[in-house]
Amino acid sequence: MNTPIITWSCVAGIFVLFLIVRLCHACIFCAKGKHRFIEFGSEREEFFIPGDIDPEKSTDYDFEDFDEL
Amino acid sequence: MTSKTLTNSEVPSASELTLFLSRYSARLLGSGATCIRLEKNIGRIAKAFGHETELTIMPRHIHISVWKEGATGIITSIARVSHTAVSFNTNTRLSELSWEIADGKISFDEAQERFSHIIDSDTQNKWHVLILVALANASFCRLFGGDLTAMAVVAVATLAGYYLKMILLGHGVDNRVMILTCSFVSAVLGASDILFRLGSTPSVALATSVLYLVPGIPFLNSFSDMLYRHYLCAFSRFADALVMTCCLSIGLCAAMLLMESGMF
Repeated sequence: MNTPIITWSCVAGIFVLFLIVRLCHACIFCAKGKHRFIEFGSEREEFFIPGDIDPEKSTDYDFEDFDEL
Repeated sequence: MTSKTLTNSEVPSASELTLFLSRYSARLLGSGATCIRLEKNIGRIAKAFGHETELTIMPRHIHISVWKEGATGIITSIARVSHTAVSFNTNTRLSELSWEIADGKISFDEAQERFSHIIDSDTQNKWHVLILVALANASFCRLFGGDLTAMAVVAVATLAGYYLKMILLGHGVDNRVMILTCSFVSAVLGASDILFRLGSTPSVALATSVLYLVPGIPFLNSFSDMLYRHYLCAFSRFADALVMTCCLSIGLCAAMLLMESGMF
């Protein structure tokens, strides 16, 4: 007789619990500084044009972005 | 519309073109295009580069043969169909690419770059999709005569179900298990209207809470393939869609049984 309410409570409860756990994980992830809300970006992030060389992938030890201009 | 005649240096070799076309066709079919769309696009691209093609489209593989007009050598390639989500955006952009090639607006190298860009840039914000799916399903509820309470219940049930779907797919759970689980969760939450006597159309809320899982595109593609006599692909797609619908029904029936919503 109480099957519907028990089923509904289980599904809704597990789902809410699951959401809370994921939210906590996300908060911990942010708190560790892995995802800052505000940060100073590099020039590359602001002035990137598709085709530009990625400095991290460049093999030149003295690679400078502006040399490529 | 401008077009230009390709010089010899701009015309790819048959092997280069075959490789490109096999990647293109695998992606296009994987993105939910019909067989006739694939045949037209491939033929258009090959013709633009002075080649002829012949396609054999199987449910999981595409067999493509390319040869230069008037030549005797034939290059054949077999590509595995990409396992990607259905994306009309990718379909549209790949079709546009084929027209740009046909109109001579871009060279072969540019076409390859454009193709890579289309594949890499096909990302949608999953949170936007989640919200839009919930709104769409709530609208379906309204179309079937649901009141505002039913719409709200359906929106919440869809949000929960679709969110679960994203998580399960992210963890590589089998598609059938995912559909069964999501339909069960959505139907149980959709039955809130019946359980708590919230609105005046509780049955509409329950029935429409799982509509977002209906495999509409595979059914439509299957019908289209059948019209153009691609029977193997048509039956394969139909069987896939049927299995998904069965999983959806099992989840819905299990929820209705447990929620004692009147059908059983």
